[in-house]
Amino acid sequence: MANTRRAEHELFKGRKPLETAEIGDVIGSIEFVVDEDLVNRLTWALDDYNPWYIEESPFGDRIAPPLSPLQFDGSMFYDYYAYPEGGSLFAKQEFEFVRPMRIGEKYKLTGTLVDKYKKKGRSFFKMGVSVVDPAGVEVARMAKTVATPVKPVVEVEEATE
Amino acid sequence: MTATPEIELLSDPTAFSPMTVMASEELAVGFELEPITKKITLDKTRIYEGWPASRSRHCDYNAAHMTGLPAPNINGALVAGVLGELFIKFFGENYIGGSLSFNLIRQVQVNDVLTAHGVLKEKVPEADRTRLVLDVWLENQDGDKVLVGSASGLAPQAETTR
Repeated sequence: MANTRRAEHELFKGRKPLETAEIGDVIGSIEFVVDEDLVNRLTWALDDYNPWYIEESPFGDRIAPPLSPLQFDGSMFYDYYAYPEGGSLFAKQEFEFVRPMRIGEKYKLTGTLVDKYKKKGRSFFKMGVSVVDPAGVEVARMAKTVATPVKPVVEVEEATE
Repeated sequence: MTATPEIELLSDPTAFSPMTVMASEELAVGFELEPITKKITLDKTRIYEGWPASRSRHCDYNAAHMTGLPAPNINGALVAGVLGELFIKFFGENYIGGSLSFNLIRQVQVNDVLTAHGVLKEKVPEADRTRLVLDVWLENQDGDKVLVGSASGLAPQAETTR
């Protein structure tokens, strides 16, 4: 049965508190196939019927929309770190596209924590991600930055007498 | 004998339309890309999230309420997809070798209308090619920026830009 009554944090499996996150943490890997269902959902959701996705592309096969890995990297992060009580925001993303992602291929994302910092009442965590094909050849490099909490903490200066 | 009424054939409003002007080293700094506008409906966010099998705050009212939201808000990944369309339409095959980075600066709500914009900011020589660097952003129907960033890609080699 569908998870109709689950809070956001219950959708993920992560257990490591973000307060203990250290640069260099190996967040893990996730494998996914760029299948028909995924590409159909992306094209319908965006009304982007690029023939490269649904007919053929100059790369010899149909390809996936370039931002397709965004379907997976966020859940990889929170299947490692515990989803924070104050909620989480998708703050920033970076991509370098090395090779096209082809429909029917299996790809592997591997993530590592590469930076963390605090700014304007929130904590930011940046995950570097490599995307490789079954032969281990890199097809994309990415970085995702998430921020918590959703409502920034107001830093109150201590009163001095 | 009754004449068959003529049927007016309507065009597919979702049919793919390429960008009129694509990446080229002849473009001048300041060139504005043809904008792309999309309305993000509840149906669209549910398709993207895989509802009803997947019920997150981005597509399900119960899940949104449990996180303190009055209604679902749109996943930044779906929002970014509008920018992804602008990116691949402008650079074509040269999206490979390209880059894209952005900050999400404002939440997007169901039924917001987003428009992707891009302006050629810089032309950088790279080996025997030219890399085009763009400022890119998404605006909502009120003219508020919801995403800001930059993109780059190589212009096609001269012989293919005739």
